[in-house]
Amino acid sequence: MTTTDTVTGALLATTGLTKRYGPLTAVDHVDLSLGRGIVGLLGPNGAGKTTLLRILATVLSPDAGDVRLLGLDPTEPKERLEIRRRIGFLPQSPRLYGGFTPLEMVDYVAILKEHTDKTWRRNEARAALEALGLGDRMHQRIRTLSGGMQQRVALAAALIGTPQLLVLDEPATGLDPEQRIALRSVLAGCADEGTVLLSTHNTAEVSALCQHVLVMDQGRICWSGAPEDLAAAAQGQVWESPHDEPTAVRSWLTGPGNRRHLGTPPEGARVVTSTLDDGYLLVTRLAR
Amino acid sequence: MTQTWHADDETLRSWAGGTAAPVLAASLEAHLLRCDECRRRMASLAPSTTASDAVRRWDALADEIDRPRTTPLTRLGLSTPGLRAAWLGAVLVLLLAPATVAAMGGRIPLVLAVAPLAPLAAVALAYRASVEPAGQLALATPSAGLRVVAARALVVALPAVPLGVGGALAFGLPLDVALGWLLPGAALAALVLLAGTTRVDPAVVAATLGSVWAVAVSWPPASRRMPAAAVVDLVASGPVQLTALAVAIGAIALTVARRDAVAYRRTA
Repeated sequence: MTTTDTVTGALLATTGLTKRYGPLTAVDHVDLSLGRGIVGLLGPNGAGKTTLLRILATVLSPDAGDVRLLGLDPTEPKERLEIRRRIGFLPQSPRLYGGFTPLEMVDYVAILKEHTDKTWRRNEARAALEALGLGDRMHQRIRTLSGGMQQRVALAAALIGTPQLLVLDEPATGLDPEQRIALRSVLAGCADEGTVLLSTHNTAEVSALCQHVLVMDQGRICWSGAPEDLAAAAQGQVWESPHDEPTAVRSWLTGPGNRRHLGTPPEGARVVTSTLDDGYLLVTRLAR
Repeated sequence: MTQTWHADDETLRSWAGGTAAPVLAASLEAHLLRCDECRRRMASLAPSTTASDAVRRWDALADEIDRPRTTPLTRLGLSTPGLRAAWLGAVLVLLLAPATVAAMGGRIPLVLAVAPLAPLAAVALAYRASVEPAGQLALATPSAGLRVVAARALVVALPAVPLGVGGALAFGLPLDVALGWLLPGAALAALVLLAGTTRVDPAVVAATLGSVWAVAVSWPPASRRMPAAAVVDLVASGPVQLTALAVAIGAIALTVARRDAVAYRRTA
C-alpha cells in the first residue's frame, strides 16, 4: 500500500487539502494517497484529525485543495451521493437516539443509506451487531446500554452495507480489551474490501491493526510510513535512567525509580529499544 | 393441554427446512408450543435440523414477539423529542387558533396570523441537528441534507393541515379563513427551507418571518386601522394567494437548486 505517493486509482487521495476556522488552520495542505488496508491516524488533541476525517467522510467541505474518494469528487453533488453510498463513517462521540434499539438504529441508518430491502437490512444489521458482540442486546433500548455498547452500535451502523471506505474517528473509545479484540477482527475483515482510516490515541491499536500510520500535528501530516518504521524513527534516541536528564527533549516515569528519556543520549547512557510510542512522541516533538 | 390434531410429517419437514408458507409456519409454530407429540416427532423427522438451527429459529420467533416496534414515522425522527414537540406544537396551534377565535368573539384574523406559523416552525425544527436519531452518523449517508430535512418537515406539517382546516370549519369559521392560511403558510415555510441553504440560521429566519406575518395580519384590526373582515378579504384575495403560491414554488425550486448547500451547512 502506498500512502505518500500520488497514485492513480488510489481509493482516497487529497492534494493541498486545507480547512480553516477563522484564524485557526485545522487542516493545513494535507496530501494523501491511500489504497486498500487499514491506516491509523495518530496525533495529539487539536491536531486536526477530526476535521480531516469529517472532510474525508463528506460531512465537511474543505476551504482549499482537492479530494478524491473512491475516484470521485465529493464537491460534485452527484459524485458525493455515489461516494456516500459506498462509505461508512463513525464520528467522534456519536450520539444516538436512546429510544431506539440497536437493531432499529442500524436498520434506520441502512434506510438512510438507501437499502430498501427490509430482509437484507435486517440480516445485515444482525450480522454487524453480532460481529461486534451485541447479539444479545439487539432489542434493548440504546439508553440502557453502556457507553462502550453504544459505541459499538454506532460502529455497526457505520459498517452496514460493506463500505469500500471506512472513516472511523476513535472507534476504540470506551471499549474494554475484549471488545477491542473483537473490533480488530471486524476491521481486519473490512480492510479486505477497501480502505479503513481510523484515528486513535492508542499506539497499541496501530501496531496491532494498521499496515500504515500517519502522524498529524498542527494540521499537517508530519510523518507517514509503516508502524515499525515509526518505532525505528526513535532508535538510538531512547534511554532509561533513575533520574531526570536535562538534555532529554521528553522524559517520563515508566515505573518506580525508572524514567524513560527521548533525545540525544548522553555518554554512557543505557540506550533501549524504541517503541511506537517513542517514535510518535519524537516525530510530534520534531514537527514543532 | 390436549391437542385434537397433529401436523403430518411433510408439514413438519417443510417447517424444519424453512420452506413452509408464512401462514402455515406461524400456525405450526403456535401448535408446536403446545404439542409435545409433534415436538417429539419433529426431532425424529428432521435430523438435518441442528441444535443451532433450532436455537436460531426460536430466537427469531422470540425476536418477532419481543422486539419493540418501530414505524416508518419514528424512523423519520418523529420519536425524537425535538420533532415530537414540533408535531404536537403544530397540532396545538392549529386546533387552538380557531378555538381562541371563537372564544374571543370572532376576531377572525387571529387564525390567519397564527396558523401559518405551524408549517414555518415545522421546517425550522426539521433543520435542527437534535431531531436526527443517528446524530452525525447520518451526515455521511446519501439521504443527508435536503431529502431528510424535507421529509421531516412534511411529517410534521402535513398531518397538521387537515386538523387546522377541519378545526377552523368545526368552529364555524368561513371557508376563506379556513383555507386562506394554507398558501401563505406554504410560502413562509418554503422561505425557511430556502434559508437552510444559506449561512443564516433557519430558526432566525423563521422567527423573523413569523413575527412579521403575525403582526402584519393582526395589527391593522387590533389598532382599528382596518376592519377584521377587510384583512380576511385581503389575505384570501386572488393576488395575495397567487403571490404566496409563486413565492412557495420559487423558494422550493431555489432550494432544490441549492440542495448541495443544505448537505454541508445545515445538518452538521
